[in-house]
Amino acid sequence: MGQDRHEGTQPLLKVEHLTKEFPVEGGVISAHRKGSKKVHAVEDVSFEIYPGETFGLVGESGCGKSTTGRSIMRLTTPTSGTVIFDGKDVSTMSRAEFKSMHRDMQYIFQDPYASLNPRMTIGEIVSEPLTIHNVMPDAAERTAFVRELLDVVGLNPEHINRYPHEFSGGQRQRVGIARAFALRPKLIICDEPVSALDVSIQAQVLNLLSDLQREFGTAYLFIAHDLSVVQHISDRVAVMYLGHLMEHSDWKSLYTEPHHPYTQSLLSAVPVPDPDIQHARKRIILAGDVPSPIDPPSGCPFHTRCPIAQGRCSSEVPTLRKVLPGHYCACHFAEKNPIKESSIRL
Amino acid sequence: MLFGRKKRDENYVDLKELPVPEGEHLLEVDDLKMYFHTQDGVVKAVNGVSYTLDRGETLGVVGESGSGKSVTSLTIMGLIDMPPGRIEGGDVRYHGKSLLAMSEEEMEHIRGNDIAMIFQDPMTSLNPVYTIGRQLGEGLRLHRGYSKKEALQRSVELLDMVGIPNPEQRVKDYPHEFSGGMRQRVMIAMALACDPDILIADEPTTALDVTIQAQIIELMQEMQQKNGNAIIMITHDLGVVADVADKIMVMYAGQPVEFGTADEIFYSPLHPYTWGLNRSIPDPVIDEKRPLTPITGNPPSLVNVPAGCPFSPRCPYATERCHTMAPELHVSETGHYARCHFAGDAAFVAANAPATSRTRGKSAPDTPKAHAPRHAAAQEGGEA
Repeated sequence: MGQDRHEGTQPLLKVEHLTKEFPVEGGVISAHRKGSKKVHAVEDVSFEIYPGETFGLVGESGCGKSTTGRSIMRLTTPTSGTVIFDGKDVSTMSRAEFKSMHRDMQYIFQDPYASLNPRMTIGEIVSEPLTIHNVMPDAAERTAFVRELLDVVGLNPEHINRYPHEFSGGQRQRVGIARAFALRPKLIICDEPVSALDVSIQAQVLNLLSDLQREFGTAYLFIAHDLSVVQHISDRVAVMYLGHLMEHSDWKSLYTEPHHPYTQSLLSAVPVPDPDIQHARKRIILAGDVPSPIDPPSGCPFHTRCPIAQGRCSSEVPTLRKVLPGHYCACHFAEKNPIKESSIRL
Repeated sequence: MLFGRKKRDENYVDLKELPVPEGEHLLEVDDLKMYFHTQDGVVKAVNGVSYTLDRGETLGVVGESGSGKSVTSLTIMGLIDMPPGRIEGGDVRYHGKSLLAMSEEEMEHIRGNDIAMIFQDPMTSLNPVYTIGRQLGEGLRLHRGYSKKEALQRSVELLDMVGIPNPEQRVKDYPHEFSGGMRQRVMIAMALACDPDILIADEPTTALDVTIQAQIIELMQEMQQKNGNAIIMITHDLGVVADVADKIMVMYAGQPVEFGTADEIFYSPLHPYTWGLNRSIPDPVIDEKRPLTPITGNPPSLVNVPAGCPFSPRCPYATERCHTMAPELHVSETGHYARCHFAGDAAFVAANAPATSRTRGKSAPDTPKAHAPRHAAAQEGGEA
């Protein structure tokens, strides 16, 4: 299962040792001064995404999951590390190569209200990628294509000349999805695409994303904080905490056999919408808050809140290692973790 | 009292000190209607809400945004501006006394003292220019006539009670020096300062991460066990409701569409909207992925509520009657009610209600029979 399933296949996206730091104090000079404080948003993150799969990235707010997505897309420049997309290193690309890469890698944003230009009709919004990449120079052909695309995402093609404010949140997210799919990309980075939507609408958009993936074979990097949504949509899932990748594996192994104490407490904290099961579950309630990424703990980033931490955890940074086929975990005690036995699964 | 501010009315007796009159409930909301009269028309924000609540109980109010779940509580608290709001009918009785008939001065005694409220966003509900201690003590000084010193002392105890480390120092801090979870703890401490009968929590954990949410929910339950207060938990998260609620009210378009005990709502729901919500959420328990069956279309605008049953345009089972005639409440002996023409039709309910962890294994359909067309979303809400 998991990565083993992909043995022999070429990954579509390969992220290696990605690190992103933000200077805390503003200004050019202080940012380059030695010893100035930095936010360690992403620390040495590596993973691969294979063609046509959904890779879920979960974590609490401020864990660096969005920064990871933005660094891959180069919406922000990583401090170090490489991103190899479709066999090419994104960091050494020329401008022209970079632009053509964007034909194959698109982004869906969280906020369907802020990510659509209010002065453009939805037809203009959806056809803009086509214009930028000069894919369909013929205007009539382009319009026909956009109408078809609107139909595919479940919007009425007759509404092509309407403006974003005339649509509800869920419909706007459909417009954002149509725009992302206009160029038939190989990878779409979905940054919390459903978290601003009501449950009934959320399900509509999740189903749409699954349908489109089946139709076009697009791979998704699905960034979200909602564990049940990520479980539902993902083939493989990675858990982030304070910029570090703590655990990743195929979805089933991660949700039924979590090895990392952070994954375990995260899963146990999600209330299950079924009173019988919810009341019978064991819960691990973590003490305290997530430490500041400006001054992250030494050793394992989770050791300050970890229920099974020992002396070694505060000095030695655990590395991701294989605990099961296709299942990787960054914990010194992953194999000997006592919580694992006591069934905390969702 | 020797020093400090006096209560405005020495003869005022706190309602919460009195026993609940025979045959009454702690809080009784009876067919409450509150409409906003706006330029765009009449917004029926609260349209016939009924429930009862007793001490120690937790009522979960669920619904999507705009379903009126928050406005209902604001109406009960007398926090709606009138106009544009206007009570169009019904009553709210606390200890058998109508809250709607009370003067503003009487309501001031009730708010914070008998019924307290916490909100979703702890940053905007704390005043950034006052210290935590001063804000915590405000209610005590107002309702209990505490002196500054006494109030501060009690604030330290309260912070300690809600699990904030080093409370003697923290009372002197300002809200921005606290994290989101800590601020919500402060809000809970503030709400419980005067030992209220009822705590209304409006999406108290929505802005928080799951691990912090678990902490806050545990804290609220702990406090409830200690103080015996009732909780009204307003949320969109069915998981949170499953965790805490004894009774649940499901709201749609300003109306409660179903009300019952947590058991009734989760294991024998009657209303197609409750079923739809259930099928829309990913089931985290089962091993294989179950396809989601979303509710098609969008929630209606409250200015222009559909004729007949407000859910009928999105309901996969709607018949001609549903589109023309508003359904009456179907009430069972246990008080479980649903606003649906077919709620009394046991065969219909058995054939269409979603499978639950209790029925799974027995035969129950997982998807509604009639599938709405793909474009339902576009056709209904396009002109929103």
